[in-house]
Amino acid sequence: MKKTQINEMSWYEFRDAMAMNDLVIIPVGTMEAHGMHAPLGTGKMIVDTMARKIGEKAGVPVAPTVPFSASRNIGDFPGTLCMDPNLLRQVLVEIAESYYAHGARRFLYINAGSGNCGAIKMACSDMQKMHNDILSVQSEWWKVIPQLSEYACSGHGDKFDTSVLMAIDEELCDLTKAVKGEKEALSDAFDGNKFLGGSVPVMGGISLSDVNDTACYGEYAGEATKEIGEDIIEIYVEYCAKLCKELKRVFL
Amino acid sequence: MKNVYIEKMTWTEFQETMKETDCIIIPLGVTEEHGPHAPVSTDTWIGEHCANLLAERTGTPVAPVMPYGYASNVERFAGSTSLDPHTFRKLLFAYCESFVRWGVKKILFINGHGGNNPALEWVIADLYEQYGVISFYNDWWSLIPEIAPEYDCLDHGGHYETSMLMAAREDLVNLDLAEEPGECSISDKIRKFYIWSFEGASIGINCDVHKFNPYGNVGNRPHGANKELGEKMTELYIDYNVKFLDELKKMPIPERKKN
Repeated sequence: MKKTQINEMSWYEFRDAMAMNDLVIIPVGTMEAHGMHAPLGTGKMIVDTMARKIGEKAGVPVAPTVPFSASRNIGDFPGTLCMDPNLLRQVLVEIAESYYAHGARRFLYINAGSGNCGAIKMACSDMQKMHNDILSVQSEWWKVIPQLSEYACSGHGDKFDTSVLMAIDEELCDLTKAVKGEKEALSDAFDGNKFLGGSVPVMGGISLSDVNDTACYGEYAGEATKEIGEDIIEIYVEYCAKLCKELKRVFL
Repeated sequence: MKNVYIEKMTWTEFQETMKETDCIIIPLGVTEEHGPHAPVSTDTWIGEHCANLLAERTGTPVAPVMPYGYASNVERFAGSTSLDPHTFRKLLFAYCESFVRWGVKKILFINGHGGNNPALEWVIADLYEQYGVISFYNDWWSLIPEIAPEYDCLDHGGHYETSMLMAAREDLVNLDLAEEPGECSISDKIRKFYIWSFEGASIGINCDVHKFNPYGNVGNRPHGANKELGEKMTELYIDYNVKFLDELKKMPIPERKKN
């Protein structure tokens, strides 16, 4: 089979891959606390796996995963890497520019963390402003999956994060350390991130550690299963592979 | 009635006001195209109008509206402006920081422009990180469909936004010039009706709006927009925020575990 992971290609192989195709997948990871039961690299490993599978299925080159993130609200938990989001934006522009110089015109960002969303969005706009012949697309698995299935992914280090991680490698988490009912909100007036039925974006900008001792919230991670994780990965990979095919059809 | 407009206070009046509250409202807008029938400051007029009504209903001081923001992908429409998002972040932070120096600890941003959201979220985290200030934002087009699903609010310069504008400044709208937004798509399956979607899920596509839409208004067609609808929606939005602001004023500021 033809290689799709850029970090496994020689420069000859990459050059040849870009002669046939101008789409590149760029996974953007996180390195942040995900509860006591799951590792710091949860977000990174999830997009590593998803992007690799999408690349293989769609025959699209996959860039090395950006291993750091703008995980500011998690930043006070030990081991979390927390870049300034504007720096992440600049890094993403320079990565895209590098591939642009070698023929990439379409970019699909597979993002692991909500703290990265704004930086990716801005980097895409920056590229658009500099080049009129490109197309950038940003996708988050935890936003796509609830639209396509019954899995309501909205927590952090929750049942769904943990299930996907288990599908990658069960040894990576220890469900006996999973905890229930952790807070994400500033006061009891909130139901999750909702107030009287309306979504409240960014909970006051607080550091999660000021209201939460575990770095996880949402559906109880103790109920995670490998099967749910495999299902989520399959749905998302299938969806993104189709998206890649469609993106290649777009006239730039 | 007590004056709630900071721009109309003397500095001594402002000082007195800050003895009574530590919470203010800051309206945000932008200057960008909104179709041929609506002014470039549409978002600014709506944000300011809602913030002012909210201030009067709750007696909360309101700062002058921020008329510039981050607007990408509409550069090719005349009259559109945009700050670099990092510049906008620094500008808004400095604006808030000035109020923080005079005692503000809680801020509610009434945001009239969605493009501001990512940079605004950075500012909200910056304010907490540096000063322990808690601030929140919301916008009418996300909130209203959640609390009143009969209004989908899926447009830019369309039926709902133009109505919201008419509630604030009916005189600035000329519906005779309204254009059909047309079908937006970049392929058979990647289509935009206010938001982009592909095969049953929304996706974040970034491309120049002018490429596929020469008029600038997107989503629901603007025809039939009216002041009464705008007033009804404005009221829903304000009612919600009266309760939110009441809660915000009671909300404890968390103790920082780490500096």
